[in-house]
Amino acid sequence: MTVPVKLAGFVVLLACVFALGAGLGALVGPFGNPDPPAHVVHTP
Amino acid sequence: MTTADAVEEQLQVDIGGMTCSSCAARIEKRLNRIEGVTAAVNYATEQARVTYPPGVTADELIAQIEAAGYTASLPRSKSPSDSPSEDDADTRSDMRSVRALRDRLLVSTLLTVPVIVLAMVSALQFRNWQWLSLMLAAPVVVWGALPFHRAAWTNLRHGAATMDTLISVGVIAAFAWSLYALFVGDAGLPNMTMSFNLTPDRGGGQHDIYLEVASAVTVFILAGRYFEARAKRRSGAALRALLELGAKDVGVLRDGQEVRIPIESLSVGDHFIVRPGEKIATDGVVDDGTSAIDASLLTGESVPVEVGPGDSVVGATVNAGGRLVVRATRVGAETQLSQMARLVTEAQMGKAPIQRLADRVSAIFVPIVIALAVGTLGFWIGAGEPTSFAFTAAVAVLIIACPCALGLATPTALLVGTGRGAQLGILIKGPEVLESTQRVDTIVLDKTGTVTTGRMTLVAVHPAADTTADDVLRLAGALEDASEHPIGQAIARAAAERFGTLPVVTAFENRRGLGVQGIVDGHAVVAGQDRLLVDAGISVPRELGDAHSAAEDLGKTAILVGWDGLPRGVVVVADTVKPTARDAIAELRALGLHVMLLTGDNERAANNVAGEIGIDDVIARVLPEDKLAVIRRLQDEGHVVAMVGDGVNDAAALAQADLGLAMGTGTDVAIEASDLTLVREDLRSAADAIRLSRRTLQTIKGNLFWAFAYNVAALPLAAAGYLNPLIAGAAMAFSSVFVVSNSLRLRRFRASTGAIEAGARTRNGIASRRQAQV
Repeated sequence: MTVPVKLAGFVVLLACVFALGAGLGALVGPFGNPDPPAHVVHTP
Repeated sequence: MTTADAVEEQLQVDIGGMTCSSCAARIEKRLNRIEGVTAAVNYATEQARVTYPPGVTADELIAQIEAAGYTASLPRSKSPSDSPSEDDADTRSDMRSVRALRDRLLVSTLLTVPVIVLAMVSALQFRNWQWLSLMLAAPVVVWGALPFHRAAWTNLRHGAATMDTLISVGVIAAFAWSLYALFVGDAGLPNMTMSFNLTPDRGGGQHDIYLEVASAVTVFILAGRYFEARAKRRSGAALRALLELGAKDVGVLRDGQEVRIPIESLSVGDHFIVRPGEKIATDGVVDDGTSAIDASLLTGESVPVEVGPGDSVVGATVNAGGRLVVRATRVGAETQLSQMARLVTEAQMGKAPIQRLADRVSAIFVPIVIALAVGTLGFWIGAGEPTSFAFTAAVAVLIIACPCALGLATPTALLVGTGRGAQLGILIKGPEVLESTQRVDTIVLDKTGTVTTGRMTLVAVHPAADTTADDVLRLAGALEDASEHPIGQAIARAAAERFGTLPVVTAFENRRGLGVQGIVDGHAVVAGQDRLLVDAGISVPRELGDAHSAAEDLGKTAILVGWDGLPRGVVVVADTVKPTARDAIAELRALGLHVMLLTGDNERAANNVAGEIGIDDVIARVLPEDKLAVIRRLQDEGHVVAMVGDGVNDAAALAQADLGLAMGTGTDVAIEASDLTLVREDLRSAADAIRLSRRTLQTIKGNLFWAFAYNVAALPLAAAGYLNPLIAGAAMAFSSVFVVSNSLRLRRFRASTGAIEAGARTRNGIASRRQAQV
């Protein structure tokens, strides 16, 4: 495998990891943050 | 250094530009990819040892290393014959690189301190302070961290990532974010203030800048690198000292005239002069003159050894007495000093299996960490946290992850441990030896030369009824003085010690295999086996016969003496036990080892010696060729066996043993076969060697544990956003410094051999002197 191919592969992998992280963050976060984002609706 | 071999050659290459153990792993991988090539790259010594097949050339190997982005060159032969200017050049270039690093660190520190103070103390944040911070931090990030950026770039071009990549990316990320906040965000506004927290600020936004992070991380890591470089220089000092021991020039006799020539022009067979106080230029044999030689620089033994014509002397030892004329027998790389230096280097070049694991881990660690940092960034952005917080957490992950400490764990401990060993006269052959010393449970001691001095000494004189012991010793000593046999010399030595000058012998005759005869003080004296006395018409009475066989039963040598047709007495000589042998056995026991004595003597003689030194387990009547079988048998019984021997006849057993220790000044065969060479003849250095090796291994394990534990524990904290990058950088630098200083503790290792009783040593000194004179 040549160097540019290797690097491109790694960048794609990083993009995937970023997307995965973001997705995971949106699902489970924000923990520990006292101010919930505006779209979270509190029910009594 | 190239050594020709039947199939493949070995080469040592100096490598420049390595900044972390990942670099070493990368070069190693690249070289090993060439068919038939086996390479081991050591980050600490900045050298590679390459074994390559005939089809490959040294230039190709160097080209491969250079293609990987590093510099490579063949080292000059570091024998004592190296000219001083070359050695100096080496040291100078070493010092220059350390000094350059120090300058970079000093300038960066001066620029960084105000940046940190301004960022941490809100009260000091005057109008537009952030722009001053930028001015101060920019040179640090660009010039201070240049070595990291340069290395990261080199690696990137080859599709690889190392520790430098992490540092470079971390610093650039923090700096780039600050630039964005200053020029695009709100941070550039004149009244901007900021407070410092140990953990990243969750409420932060585009008005936060991380200039202090970028510059402080650079300074901390530069500091870590600087201390590393200094420690590397210091721990290599032992080896350098060893190589610098040699004399630089020498006075050679040419046509009866003394001519001063540089040491490298000396060749085998040359006669050279050694004046009192001078170093002996190279290994040789004394041709003329007597003197005392101080070999303490080489062996650590502080009592000078007397030498005279025919005695061997070792290069780099100091002539403490009179003028000597020495014939050179070995020069250059063949000398004992060079061989010792080579052993130490080889030990330092090798790698423990545990270190190979660390190298493999750090090579795949970097891409994973970069992915983790990106994942962290994504997670916190996805979780709705401010971008600056997500960014800070990601930068902290990058910085905390650098396993530099991991890469330093083994090489530094090994360097310091083997260096300290060399100072104590203990040469450790390789890192795998360390693992063996941990496992050994049984130690087998060869009797002659190891437990005993290996030199015959008079132990008893049994006179016949009408004769005195003094008469027997005086006449027998005078007769034997003309003999060259070690037994004869022992008797002559003892007589000379007791009576001073001995009478002259005439009509001396050496009856090969039987004994000697001659005329002393008008008496026809015979000394030797009973057959010789019978031949001389002397019958041996019962009491002398009993004394003779009792001594022989104990493994001693008994000489019958008679004169004027009558039996006069029995003189008994034996190989005596070394004065420190008993202490040494106790020390070996204290290390948890089962001690065994191996000898070719009969059981009674063996038990006699064993009792004297406190060993219970004896294997007697072992022929030299059976020693190997004994070691194998013990191994088959499940023991991990160490063997201490004195050289040639033990070589096979030394090689078979799990740990072979060669005693004495180390014949080539013994050194090749053994794992540890003990330069001193004191058996206690065997215990020291095992203790030092175990301590070195413990240090390595401790280093690896702390380096690993630190990375593993800190990564989740950084990813969870609980670690300010500034603290991460400081902690990371600290872990490197911790590992290096932990290794340096080995320099304080104390040998028990320092406490040799002075009287014992003097006796040894006299014994060797007498033997030398006879």
